[in-house]
Amino acid sequence: MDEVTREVELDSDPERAWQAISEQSELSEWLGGEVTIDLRPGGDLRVREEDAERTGFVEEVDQGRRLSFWWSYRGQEATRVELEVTGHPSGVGSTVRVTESRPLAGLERELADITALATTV
Amino acid sequence: MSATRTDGVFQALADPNRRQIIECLAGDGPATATGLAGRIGITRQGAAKHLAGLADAGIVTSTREGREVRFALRDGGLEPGAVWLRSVGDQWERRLSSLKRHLDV
Repeated sequence: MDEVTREVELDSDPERAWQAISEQSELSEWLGGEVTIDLRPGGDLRVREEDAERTGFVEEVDQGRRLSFWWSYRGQEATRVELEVTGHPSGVGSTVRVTESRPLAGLERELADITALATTV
Repeated sequence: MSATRTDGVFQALADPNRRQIIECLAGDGPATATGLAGRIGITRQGAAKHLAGLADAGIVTSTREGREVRFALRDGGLEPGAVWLRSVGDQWERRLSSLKRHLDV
């Protein structure tokens, strides 16, 4: 499955980093748009960018540690994003790791194959 | 459905000169902007502009050799999956840099 992982080392402690990735006013500062998020499984997510909008929902919240959600532009493939905060053994700083994946991409191809097969029968 | 992941590739391939550039690189191997311009019959500046667009879309790579820059097709550059990985990776790098700027002031 297509999957992208990136991470960043922060001077901030894990508590502060968690705030930055889970609160909508904080997310709006860096995610690339104005964010509204209902932080619970199934809660709505909306990211208003300059000329487009992504909508989605929260999948899972492991308070203070991990958050996953799905998002997509209108009518386009939905992708899954997981954000994770870890502290450093030294007790100073934290790491935020993000993974975005395309769990539906294979399904899309399979559906296309099935449709193609169905039209030839 | 596949608009986001293939947009760059489609855009890059919409232009007949760009398609010719790709065909030349695929058929004859790496080349310079000047060499490609001569073969296709466009100006060197025109070829350089198209090559820059193809590089942005992740379809070609460039290497400097002395005073010349040689362009080559990137492995897997035309696969939409590869384009998705690069563009999504770039987006997260930008966002995480913003996160760091936001927090570590």
